[in-house]
Amino acid sequence: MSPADLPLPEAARALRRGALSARDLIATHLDRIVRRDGDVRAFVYLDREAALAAAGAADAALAAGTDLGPLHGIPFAVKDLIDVAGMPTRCGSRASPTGPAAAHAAVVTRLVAAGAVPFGKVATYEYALTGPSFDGPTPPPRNPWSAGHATSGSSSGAAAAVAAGLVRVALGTDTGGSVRSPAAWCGVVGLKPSRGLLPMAGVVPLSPGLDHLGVLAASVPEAASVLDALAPETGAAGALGLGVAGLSVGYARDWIADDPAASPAVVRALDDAAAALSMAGARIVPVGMPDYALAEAAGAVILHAEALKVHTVLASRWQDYGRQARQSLSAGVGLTPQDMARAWRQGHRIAGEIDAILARHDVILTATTLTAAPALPSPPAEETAWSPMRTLPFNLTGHPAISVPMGFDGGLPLGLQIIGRRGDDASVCRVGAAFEAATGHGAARPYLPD
Amino acid sequence: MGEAGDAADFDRALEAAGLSPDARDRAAALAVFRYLRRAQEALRQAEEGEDEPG
Repeated sequence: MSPADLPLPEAARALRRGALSARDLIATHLDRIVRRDGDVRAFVYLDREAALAAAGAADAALAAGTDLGPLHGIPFAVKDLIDVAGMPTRCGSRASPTGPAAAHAAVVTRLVAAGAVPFGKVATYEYALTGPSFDGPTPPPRNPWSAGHATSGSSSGAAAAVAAGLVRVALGTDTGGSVRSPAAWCGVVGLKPSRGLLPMAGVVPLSPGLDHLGVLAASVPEAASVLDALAPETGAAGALGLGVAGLSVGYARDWIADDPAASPAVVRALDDAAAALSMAGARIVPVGMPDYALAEAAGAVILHAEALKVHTVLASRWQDYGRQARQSLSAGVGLTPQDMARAWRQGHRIAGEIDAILARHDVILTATTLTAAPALPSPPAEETAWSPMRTLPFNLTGHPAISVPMGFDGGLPLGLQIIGRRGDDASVCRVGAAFEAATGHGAARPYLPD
Repeated sequence: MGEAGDAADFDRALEAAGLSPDARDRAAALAVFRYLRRAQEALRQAEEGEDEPG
């Protein structure tokens, strides 16, 4: 097995017993990126020499007896919306500065303090808005399962990179599902922690009220390991082995099945997922969910109003923005502070409804998206469009949520979404890990020649 | 308010914001603007429904 395919705990053990060096581990990832990323197009910036030097320093520290923990010497990729000192933050746009960031974002600082090595930037939809778009500084990533199908976004590069085996873990952002949806369509894990858990300093905002940092990973334990390094108080990794026996799982089946846009394959996979958790000892109880359309309405109003407010240079730099970005941003011109206040009132009411469900159940189970990845239009569309996700309500409410692979439809991955109580990020990781272990869906990877 | 009214409102708001999209951008953005209009209306109706006695 290539060191690039070692799950983080195994790589950590190999580093400590001297069977592998951090420098060799990163070199293996870099070589694989050279071989595979011409097709996948996940990375938009790499600093090979700096990465090798940082890995060498990690090796030297370990040899000198300084062990910073489970991520010591582990490489990670960073969505190109999040600052990494010395690397540009292009945000997938010609409208952004091209010079290097002066400092790490707060979350990158935390991972570096835990010994991890940021070695490159991965693609984002332009300013995390919509995509895929073909008029930005780089072409959009391809779905490693099928180049002719969408990756979803906006953390498209992070999801594609993990799915293609280019890196085990990456940082992303999730404002309406931008970690969970691409994770679902690329067949990897996407974790959106509770709102407010992770600092947003050094992250270019899309919609400050809805923005969340997130983690994309090859498995739930690896996502939990990164979350623990970012926010040790969650205790996510420590909860992984607890299983689901005795847990009560609210099953939001009708939230998906009653939507005519949902594919039968998603509903079948969701039923199979509920059965797998039941077999593992969880109690599965059907629950009614808040009106999705109203949650989407509230989220869309907040997102468009806040995004337009963030992009103060839209008028003066209009031609530097891609078509989809400027279409999406300019659509928010009719929104008023009264609309925003009304949207947040509904958001708080919906959060209360979710809290009431989670007062009776440990987690809620539903699908991440209504379908597998759709085929990309040919020629590529240049008009903005929404993906059929079921993720935005939890950006509005701030509940933690994770997407884990739950099987396939026509060879394309599907995602199971697990939502927990606010502040109980450990439980979504716990249930996700139990599901992953019970089904093995997370182990499937697309065939990509080395 | 019909589609023509939406379009006129959109053009006024664009002008106020100093934005002047070409026809292609305007058409696509107007579709999203109309989607947001429906969202605004749904939120208004939801609040009115909550305020109704009983």
